[in-house]
Amino acid sequence: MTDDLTSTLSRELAEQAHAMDGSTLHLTDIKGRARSIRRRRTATAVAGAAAALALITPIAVIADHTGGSRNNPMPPATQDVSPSPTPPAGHQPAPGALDVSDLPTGDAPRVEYLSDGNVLRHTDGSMVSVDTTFPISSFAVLADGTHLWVTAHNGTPYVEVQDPQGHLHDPMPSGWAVSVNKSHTVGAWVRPDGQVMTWNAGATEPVAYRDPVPASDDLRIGPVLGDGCGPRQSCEVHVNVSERRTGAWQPWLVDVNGTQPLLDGGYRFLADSSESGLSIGQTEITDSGSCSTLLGGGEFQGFQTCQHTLESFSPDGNLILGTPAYQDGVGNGEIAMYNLRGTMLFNRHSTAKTQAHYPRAEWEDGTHVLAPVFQDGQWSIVRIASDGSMEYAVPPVPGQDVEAPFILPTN
Amino acid sequence: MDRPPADGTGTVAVADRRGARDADFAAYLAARQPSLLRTAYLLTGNRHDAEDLVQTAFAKLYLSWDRVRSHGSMDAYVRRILVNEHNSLWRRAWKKREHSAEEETLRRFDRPHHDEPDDGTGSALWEVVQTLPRKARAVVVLRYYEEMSEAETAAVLGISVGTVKSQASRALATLRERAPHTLDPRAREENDR
Repeated sequence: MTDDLTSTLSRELAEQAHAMDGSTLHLTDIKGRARSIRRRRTATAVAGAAAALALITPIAVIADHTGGSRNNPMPPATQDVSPSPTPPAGHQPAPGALDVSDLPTGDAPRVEYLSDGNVLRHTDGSMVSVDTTFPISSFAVLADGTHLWVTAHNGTPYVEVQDPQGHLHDPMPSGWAVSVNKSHTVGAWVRPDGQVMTWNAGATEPVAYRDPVPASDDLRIGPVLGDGCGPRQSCEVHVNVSERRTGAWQPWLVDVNGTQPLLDGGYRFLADSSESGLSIGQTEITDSGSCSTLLGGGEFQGFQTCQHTLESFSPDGNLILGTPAYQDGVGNGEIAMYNLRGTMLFNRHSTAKTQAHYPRAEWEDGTHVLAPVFQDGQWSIVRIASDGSMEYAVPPVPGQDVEAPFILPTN
Repeated sequence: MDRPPADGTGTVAVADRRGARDADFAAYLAARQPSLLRTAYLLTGNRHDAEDLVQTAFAKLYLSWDRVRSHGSMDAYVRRILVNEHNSLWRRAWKKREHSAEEETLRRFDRPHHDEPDDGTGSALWEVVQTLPRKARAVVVLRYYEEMSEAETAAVLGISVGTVKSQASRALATLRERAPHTLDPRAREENDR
């Protein structure tokens, strides 16, 4: 019966498709759309920054008429208008520009990172080759020195755990990422069947934690809270689940109370949570962007921005990394930081000239992020401070635009 | 990879290089557009969205032309852009929100004309294919129209082979359930008379 169906299906698809004839697109059409895409990658951020500036005035007006913003349940983000601290010595690009050419060179990354596919570079400058079964796509490090390598083979992701002595465990089915708690004492990933797996620092094997979330074709591990996960340790693991039929996202929470949808906050996608009870995530997703919200308990007011995706908290939970609100998968051309009051500390975006982009940024400490950035045929690891100043943590090396030679650990 | 210099001096004017690059791309565009448009139509279900999708896919290819051409992987690259652009979270969310009755009406009137008589079973199947979730429809199109293997389909969609299998299996089950007439031999015989 299946053969009947598939052959009928193939025939029907071919008939439908072949009725769609005629070539109507010309090179000028394509170049026009290409210019539009290029402008959107680089200039949307400019428009967004202008819009944020424009918001400052209305907010001030509201404050004047309401005696402050306390009556506003979800105030928008604002922009820092205080003078910037003195940037590091050496060339700095124009304010607002993500231009990583000719930056001063600072310290090497203060976290381990991977280069050339499998060369792990330690903070003391030493290097070691990592011999995972499959190529590495991302990784996280636990406090005891355990490495959780996310690898991939034929488009299927795995987790390969390497204990502090260097012994590598066999690949285990996984989603495309691992997550670690803030103190790096536990890591977690989610299997394709929805089962959350955890690995505590000092452990010798993974723990299947609680009941699985609904199986889906797209499961993304979210923030992990608590010091450890297991029968005697309680933790909270979040998983963003793409509903099978509609594709709509819903965060789930796995903890001592069971496995259930996370409805608080109305998040469509939970990005990060802090130990102090704050959370960030996308609450609205549109064709041209998204809106992200910071929420907290009690009197904490939080804020919402549609200019950036609120991506992650700094390790101390006091700052928030912002990435483009519209993420089309070609790399991020904009980076920003906010404080918990919703003040944007800086915003840098690539320009038509620089075309700079980065695949992902990670916190190095409480006030700095590191990002592998591509510009002018070269990759570098750039350190960006909370005042927006930049320096090379790893100077530029030649490379292809879609293949970053550096992988930073998930923090 | 640039073409060798025309004058043998080792220097080629930038404008000439751009011209040669555009000529190469235009030739590729002309050659591949029809088949990509057909695939896009199967993914989107209407000509307007299909052309829009193809234009975006070719534009992104144009932006990466030098790199992709040097790898000789243009077909795979542009097909991957096409499918993933169609599946992207953002577009999907917008489509779901904005999908209106008016759009549906337009969609119903915007179907290709068939010269061959239709026994009705095929169209019923096509109707159901169009109701499949986007990822499942992409799997169906790549597997049963493009005739890709499960591994090739997985590579294009950036998902596992297991996911391709499960998506295809569920899609076929849905088609069997919603278009049983298509597979009923008696019904086919009646239609053949």
